[in-house]
Amino acid sequence: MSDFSYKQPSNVQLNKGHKHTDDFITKKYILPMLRDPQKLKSLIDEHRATPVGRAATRDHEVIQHSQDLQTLLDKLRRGSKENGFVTVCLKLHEDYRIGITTGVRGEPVEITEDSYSSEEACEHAIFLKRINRLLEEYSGE
Amino acid sequence: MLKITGYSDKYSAHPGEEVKFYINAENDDRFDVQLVRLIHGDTNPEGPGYKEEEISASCNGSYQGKNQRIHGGSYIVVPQHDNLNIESFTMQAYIFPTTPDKGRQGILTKFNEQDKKGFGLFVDDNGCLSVEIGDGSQVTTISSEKKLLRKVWYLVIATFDAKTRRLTLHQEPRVTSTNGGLGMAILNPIEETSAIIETTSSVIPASNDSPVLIAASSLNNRSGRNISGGHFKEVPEPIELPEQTKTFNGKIDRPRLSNVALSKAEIESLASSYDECNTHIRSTVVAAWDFHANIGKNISSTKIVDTSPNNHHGFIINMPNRGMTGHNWTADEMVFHHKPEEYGAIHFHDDDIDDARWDVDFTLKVPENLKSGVYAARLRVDGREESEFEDYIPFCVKPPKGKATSKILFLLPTNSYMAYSNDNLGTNSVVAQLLAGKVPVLNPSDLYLNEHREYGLSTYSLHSDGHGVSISSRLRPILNMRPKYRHWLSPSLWQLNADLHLTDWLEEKGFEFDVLTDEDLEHEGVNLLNRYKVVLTGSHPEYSSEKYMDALESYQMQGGRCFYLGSDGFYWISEYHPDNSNITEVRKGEAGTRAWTSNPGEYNNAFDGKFGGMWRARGRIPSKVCGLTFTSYGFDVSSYYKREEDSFKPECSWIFEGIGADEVIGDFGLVGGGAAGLELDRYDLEFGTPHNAFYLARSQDHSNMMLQVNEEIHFAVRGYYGGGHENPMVRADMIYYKTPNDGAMFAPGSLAWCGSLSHNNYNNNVSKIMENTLKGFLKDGPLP
Repeated sequence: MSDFSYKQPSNVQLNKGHKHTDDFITKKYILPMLRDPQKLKSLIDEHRATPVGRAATRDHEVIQHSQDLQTLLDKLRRGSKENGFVTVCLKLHEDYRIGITTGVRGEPVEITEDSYSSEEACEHAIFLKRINRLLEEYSGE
Repeated sequence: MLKITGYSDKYSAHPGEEVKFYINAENDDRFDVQLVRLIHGDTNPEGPGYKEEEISASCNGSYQGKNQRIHGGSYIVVPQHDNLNIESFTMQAYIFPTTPDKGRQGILTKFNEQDKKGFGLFVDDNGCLSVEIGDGSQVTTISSEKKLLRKVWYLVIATFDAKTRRLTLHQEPRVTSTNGGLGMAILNPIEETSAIIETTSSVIPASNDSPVLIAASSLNNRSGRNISGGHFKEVPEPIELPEQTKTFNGKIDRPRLSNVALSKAEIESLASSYDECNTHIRSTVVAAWDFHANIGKNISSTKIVDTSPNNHHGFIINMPNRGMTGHNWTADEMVFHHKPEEYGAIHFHDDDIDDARWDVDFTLKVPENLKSGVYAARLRVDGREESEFEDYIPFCVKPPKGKATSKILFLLPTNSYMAYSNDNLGTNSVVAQLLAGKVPVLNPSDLYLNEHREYGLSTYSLHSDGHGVSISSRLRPILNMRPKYRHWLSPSLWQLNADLHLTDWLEEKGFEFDVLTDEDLEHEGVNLLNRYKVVLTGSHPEYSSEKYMDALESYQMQGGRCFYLGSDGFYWISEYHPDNSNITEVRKGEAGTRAWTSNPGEYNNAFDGKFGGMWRARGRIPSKVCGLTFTSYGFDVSSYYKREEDSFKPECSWIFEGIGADEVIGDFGLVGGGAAGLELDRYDLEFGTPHNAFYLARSQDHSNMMLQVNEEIHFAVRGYYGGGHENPMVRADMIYYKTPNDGAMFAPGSLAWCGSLSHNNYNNNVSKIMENTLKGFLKDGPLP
């Protein structure tokens, strides 16, 4: 076998640049919000109220996420498809489930049991799971 | 998981013509067929709901189904011939592997994976070059034991002398400053991936009935599936395909097969050109395939030319990419037909598909008096309506040949439907949810596609090796082009299902209309449009051919009246295969709001040879044919319009009859909750918007998810970086202009526009503007 397969791979070969920079961003800008109970509650409340936003109408201007929530969502949505989340619609407008992707083409999406009655309810449930996962991932730091 | 899927042999048919349907019943179930007229495909309970009409037809009934599989993955087949059953050999090629670590992949094989007869050159399970010889009971395998690197060109060779039993394997990187495209130029130490192996083999290759395959190996020598006609018009007699396996990802250039073990010098000579070889070498050559031999004038050909006198010509199966930079590409030329000898590569992918090649299950003879419209064959297993048990195969019924049966034509943007086919982005793409502004919502058909990669991809997808998908065939089930389908990118609908918002509104308002497709326009040109007083586009006619652009422009010049009812229209150059318009191609250039970028030097289409990518790069920016150009996109929520001063002018006020001066227009709808959303267009005087256009209305209050298109951002700077709250380029412009001979164009500039038509039982200001304008356009004589 090729000699290089026996070497300790370099961080270039392991493509660590993105991960390490994303770690820095997460620690500096994301984790402080999640580790502040009051801030976390306000972010969750805001997301529960409008998981995606609302179009502007004659009665109100466009409802979109606050800068802090958008920053958090950008981070959560940047994640890998490995062990990633999708929403699975089993019955239109009635039955939505959380799906887990493996990141490998062709491998089935795991469909979890809890049923949500709307896309938005499922979106919020995934949001909560992602926050918990992120806090666990950085729990030792 | 889905129980039934299918496709048809065409997207449109005249009354009296036949449409063939090909069905996969996953578990060999019986299924019911019902012809339906599609009226409204949106199941949203806040709208009018799903509507279809059952139509009597001879094909309606119950059928015994059978499982039908797709054999995806591109390769070259060279039909079996006794001359190809050789004992001594030299196999050689240049290769550019793009997934060396995916497992065993055939490079040049005359080998059956089951009976192990024959010989072949492979990438092995360890990502190294290998050669195998099988006599049916024993197999000799040797490996280079040096890993191949991704996106590096190699000269690869295997020789075997049946008398001396000497077997050699040669893996030699050939890296230049340019030949790897975006791959590395400095390969150090080169020894890590170089190998020369010499050994002996007691096994001599057994004769077999396998064809020679390039970029694959044979699982079964026969599959019962044949190629002939269409894009295989150069096939002299139908060729039965094998069942291929171990398909290769990457490029191959100049493969050759000789019947002796040649020396390295002889191999180098043959690698360069058969014609320049000496008599001795030429006398040993069984086949010397030059992929560039016919690309100068016939790049769309599926024929692979054997430059030796033996005529072991092959054919590409499943449409790999031609016109690809070869091992010797210098970058002196960017166009394959300027220097074809540097474009001798074909890029193969294990998820390419040109035609599912299923058996016909039933045929519809379109009833003679059936009115033109969008129809579908509805398929159900066990009579159940649930999405896992039901499929629809949409198509359109045209008016009788050469005639119009209405004053209005709805031009179904089928070329764009094909571009978006089976994208798999909800599970593949890391930017999907950043684009959509939410987690992708997948339907049962999306889950099925995820597990059935042989169903192929969209031109928004990447092949499994990361190379952009540039070819789409409709000769396969396209499961995201269905009524009821809700698309992950949109808050609700996209393409065909979204376009049914428009046909539903036309029916509700009592407007008679004909339906024809992009493909029909390709074949008939502007004469087809000229039969109509008014032509309506779909919500997202993004992909257009040169003939389409010519026809749309000419129609306006000749007095035609158009509604451009979408956004991001006429954006990508997309051409049909000249011998089979079921297959289209787009190269996504170096600019544009796009899912991938063409590799260096690979910008020209293989189907017509011309520069591919954005129409604006060929001097035909969309604003020159519809007044508007794509300006921004955001898929979270939509917004509304307000009137501009021009809308009160006498030339325009009729469009707004019944609309208040300060009225909020379109703050409702089934696509993001507003008429201005998803993708937006603006006028631009610098980009060819007709100088006499009227500015009717403008959208505003978009969210910050709505961002400006990247092809117009030369520097990403604050002030123009963000979305609806800071960037004045983020808006939909509603315009109207007149053209010669009393022609006209009305364009609201939003992809979500038609989603608002049905609000409040079709009584709303979007519907009113449409109705006023359509009635005005239908009147004879000059416009106000």
